[in-house]
Formats: sequence, structure tokens, C-alpha cells
Amino acid sequence: MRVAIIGAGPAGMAAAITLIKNNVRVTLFDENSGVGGQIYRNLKNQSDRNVRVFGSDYFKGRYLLNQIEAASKTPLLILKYRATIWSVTAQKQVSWSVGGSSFSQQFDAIILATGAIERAMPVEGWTNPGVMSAGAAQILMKTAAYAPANSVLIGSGPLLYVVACQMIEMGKPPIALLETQTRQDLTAAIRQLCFSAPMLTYLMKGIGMLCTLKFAGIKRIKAITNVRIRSQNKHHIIQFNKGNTEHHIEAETVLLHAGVHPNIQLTQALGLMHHWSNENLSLEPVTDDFGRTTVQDILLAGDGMKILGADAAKQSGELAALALLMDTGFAIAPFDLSKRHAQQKKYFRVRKLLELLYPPKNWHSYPSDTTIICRCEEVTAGEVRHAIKMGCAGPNQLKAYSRCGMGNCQGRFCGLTVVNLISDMIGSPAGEVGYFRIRTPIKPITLEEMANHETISD
Amino acid sequence: MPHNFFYFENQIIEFDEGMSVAAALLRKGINDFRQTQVTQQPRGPFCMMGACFDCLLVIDGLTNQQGCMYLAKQGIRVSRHPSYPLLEMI
Ligand SMILES: Cc1cc2nc3c(=O)[nH]c(=O)nc-3n(C[C@H](O)[C@H](O)[C@H](O)COP(=O)(O)OP(=O)(O)OC[C@H]3O[C@@H](n4cnc5c(N)ncnc54)[C@H](O)[C@@H]3O)c2cc1C
Ligand code: FES
Repeated sequence: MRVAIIGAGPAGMAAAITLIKNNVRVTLFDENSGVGGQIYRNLKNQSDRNVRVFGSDYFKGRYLLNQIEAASKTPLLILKYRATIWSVTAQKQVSWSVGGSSFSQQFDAIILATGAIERAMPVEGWTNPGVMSAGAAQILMKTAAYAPANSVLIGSGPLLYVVACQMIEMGKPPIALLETQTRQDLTAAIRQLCFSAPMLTYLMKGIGMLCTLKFAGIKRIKAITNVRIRSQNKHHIIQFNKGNTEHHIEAETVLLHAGVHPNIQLTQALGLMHHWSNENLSLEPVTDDFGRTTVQDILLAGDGMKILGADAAKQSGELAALALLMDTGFAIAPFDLSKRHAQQKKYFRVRKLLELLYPPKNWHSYPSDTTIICRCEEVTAGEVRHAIKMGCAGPNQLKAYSRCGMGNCQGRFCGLTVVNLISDMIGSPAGEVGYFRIRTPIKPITLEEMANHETISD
Repeated sequence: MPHNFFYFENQIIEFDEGMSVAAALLRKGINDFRQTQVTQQPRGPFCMMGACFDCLLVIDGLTNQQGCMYLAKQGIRVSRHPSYPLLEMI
């Protein structure tokens, strides 16, 4: 059996290690230039000095990295870096592009571990140069040891604090955090508290980060709404409301973050079943507890299946690998499964707490008419609302009405906003609105590349 | 001449090993990478993880390269795309 694993974050790495231990041959793909995924990005090249900056959570990943490194010296593991997967078929053919050339290979099974992407936070001015996602700032810190100076972070979610604290450690403390969280969010979340080990770890981490922000004297303004950004020559004026009053603050870089959701490009292109999560307010692929999908021998793992964080992603990678082994006739110790399942349940509880603490807010989920929602084709929320009034019935028709979702990013940053707007206008639940039909190639490649692509056999 | 550098239009941009072209440009203070097709608004890197396509550049003659996913290499020639003609709205 040869298994393709797509995505070399904690989920993909853990799945690979579990399969290799059982003598299964694995090809592990990632479009980055090394293993690690979002959380352990560029960990291999980081000096110990940076433990202070990125924290022990980051360096914990070394354990997985070392195992992958050891396995890559055996014939069981083939690593393919800088390989962008642009197609996966139900017949288990995988196609990828690397350095301008494309290849295809037939596999016996596939585990998709493509992780999460940040939820779009469309506000006026979010397309201006110098306005980025908070995750982008983190990538700059991890890969280029560079943090933008005098920035303001806007939004909510654990990553907002993680990034702010890392910026402080890098000597580039942000000017302020404009947080969308309200007092009501805190009250709603308190009921979810319980005393499991993962919950305590998360709480300690959270409290630690809030203390770091306090000691560094970072201004935190809560319950803000209606953000608008005006930019001129690397100078941004951020206007916002708090209660009924208007405020403004200036910054050299603006970092937005409204949580993360599963990256569903490949699962949609494959035609897998998805459902709307009323908790995460996003689409999620439908799987069983092990990550099995509606297509046999195509499994999912990690945050690309359900957002549960890095530790859970590692577990779910192991679970998907174990399920695949069972399905293909390998003997698995039952203990392995029950222990992991019990742990997974605890991660669900933590996630529930985070979802209540940091929910996306209506004022950016249903943006004002003048706000651009489709960055690629420059379509505003007003144009989308107008198309719906004119009779546009769903996301796919909207493409014809407005070109919304037809640009290079293929709806990655407007898809959920479109679902929200349509659901709001026609009064149907978001889960019944449908989604853009995602087609392969899921990343633009030239026709020449597609025509000349080479088929690899084992 | 610095050791690790690439060309960006008429400038020399230094980079460290393992850095993307977009990261090296941002560190140098360059954040307007392209203009939009419809209204010619400036755009620059937004996600840095290959998802938003706002970092597209011309690299060694190849158009539409994602600056955030392209590892900086010694001596490569990077530039913005020539501006698109403003589309007349009909
Ligand atoms: C920008 C960002 C920053 C984050 N930072 C943190 C953090 O600091 N701490 C934390 O605890 N959590 C962080 N998270 C949450 C993160 O989702 C989880 O912690 C964890 O990384 C999830 O692991 P995973 O293996 O499921 O996915 P990831 O770690 O996201 O790994 C998925 C991998 O799949 C690859 N991939 C995706 N699509 C393709 C394709 N088509 N072709 C080839 N490769 C592909 C990606 O390059 C990526 O390396 C972050 C999330 C995001 C989006
Ligand atoms: S910055 Fe988003 S794709 Fe490069």
C-alpha cells in the first residue's frame, strides 16, 4: 500500500509516523519548504534562543520533526516539499506542481491534512497594502525573524494574543489590541469551564498571555465595532466604535484576525459532503470519529476537518492512520483507540469554550454595503445584496451576476461572507445556502503546465 | 555588494536564507506589490500562506508568482506586473 498524505503539519506528520511504524509506504506532500505546518513552521531552522519568542508549544514540535527526519532516511517515507497539490480525485490520483512542472501519481489511499485558514474579516480598507492577517505577521516572525513595528491588532481569538505576545518578545510590541469580544461572550463561555488537563493547560496559557500583554503595557480596547481603515503611505488611521462613541487610532501595520476555519478547497473539489457548523460558523467536511469520509480510503485529519488545535490535530492524524490500517486489514490494539478517543472528547470541550469566548461578530460577518468582500474581483457587500435582490439564487449564480468568487483565490476569502449574506437576505439557515462549486485545479496553473504534466509510477 | 540579495526593479533587496521574496520585500518596507485589475488599487501581501494571491509578482520572467511562497534566491529578478489598463465599466 502507498498512502499520500497532503499537508505536513502536526496532523499529517503524526499520520505519516503511525503508518510508517506499520511498514506502510507514505508520500508526504506540503507546499511549504519544510515540515511543520502552521504551528511548527520553520521550526527546524530556529535557534534555541527563540524559545523565548515562540514559546514551548512551538518547540514541542521537535519531537514530531525528529521522527519524520529519521523516517525520511528509510525507503518508507518520501517527502515532497514546495509541492502544491492542485487535484485529488476519488480514484486517488494526486496531482501537484513544483517549480513550474506538474506531476501525477496514483495512490491506494489518501489522508488530507491541509489545516485551517484564517476567517476573513472584511472591513472597509482591509485590502490596503499594510493591512494583513495576524497569521501573516506570525509567518513573518517565524520565517524571516521580522515583526512589523507599531502595529494594531484587531479582532478576536487565541491567535490574536499569541501573535501579540510573540511581537512583544521580538521587541516590536503592538500599539494596541482592538478586541471584538464583549462581556456577554465571557459570561456565555464561563458555563463551559471544566477541569480536564487540556482545559487547564489552555486556561494557564491564556492567563499567561494576558499577563504578558499587561506587563508590556499594551492597550486593550474591548467590545469594539464598525472598524474602518484609511491608509496613506504606510500610515493607517483606524476608526472604530465603542458603545455609541467613535474613536480612532493610528498604526503603521494593521493585523486582522477573526479565528480560523477548515481549509475546504480540496475536500470541496473532491465533492465530499460538508455541513455548516453552527458553533464555528463555517463549513466543515463530514467525517466519522476517525476522519473517514464518504469516499473509501480518503480520510481527513487535523484542523482541515474540525478546528481543535495542534495537540488534537496530532491525535486525529494518528486516528486517521489507525482507521486506514484497520480498514485495510492490519491488526490494531483496541487500547490505542479508546485512549485517543477519550482525549479527543476533551479537546472538543476546550474548543466549545473558545468558540463562545471569541465568536465572529455580525458587524463584520454581514459587512456594510461599501465594504469589498471579494478581494480578487473587488466585489462589495452592496453588490452582492443587489444581486440577491435581483433574484440571484445562490453562491454559484452569484459568480455570473457579479464575478464574486471567480478570482485567483477561488473564494477562499469571500466564500463564508457570501454564505452569510445570502442566508441573511433570503432568510434561510446558512447550512442551506450551498457553497461555490470548487473545481480543480484548486490553484491556478498554466495550461502548458497541465498539458505537459508527467505521470509518476511507483 | 551584500552576500544574499535579489533585484527588485531598480533596487537591491537583501534576504536571509529561508525567507520568501515577499518577506524580504516587506522587511525592506515595500508593501505594494500589484494593482487590481478593475480599479487599479494597490495591493500587497495579506495572508503570507499562499491563499489570497495579493502578493503576485513577476519573478525571473514568469508572471503571477506568489511572492509569499517563493523562496528568495541569489540574483533573481523580481518586479511588479505592468499595470493593467483600466477596464471601462459598460
Ligand atoms: C496562519 C495560522 C497560524 C496559526 N498559528 C498557530 C499557533 O501559533 N499556535 C497554535 O497552537 N495554533 C496555530 N494555528 C492553528 C493551527 O491550525 C493548528 O495549531 C495546527 O497547526 C493544525 O495542524 P494541522 O496539521 O491540522 O494543519 P497545518 O499545521 O495547518 O498544516 C497543514 C499543511 O498543509 C499544507 N497544505 C494545505 N493545502 C495544501 C495543498 N493544496 N498542497 C500542498 N500542501 C498544502 C500547508 O502548507 C500546511 O503546511 C494557526 C493557524 C493558522 C491558519
Ligand atoms: S500573501 Fe496571500 S498568497 Fe501570498
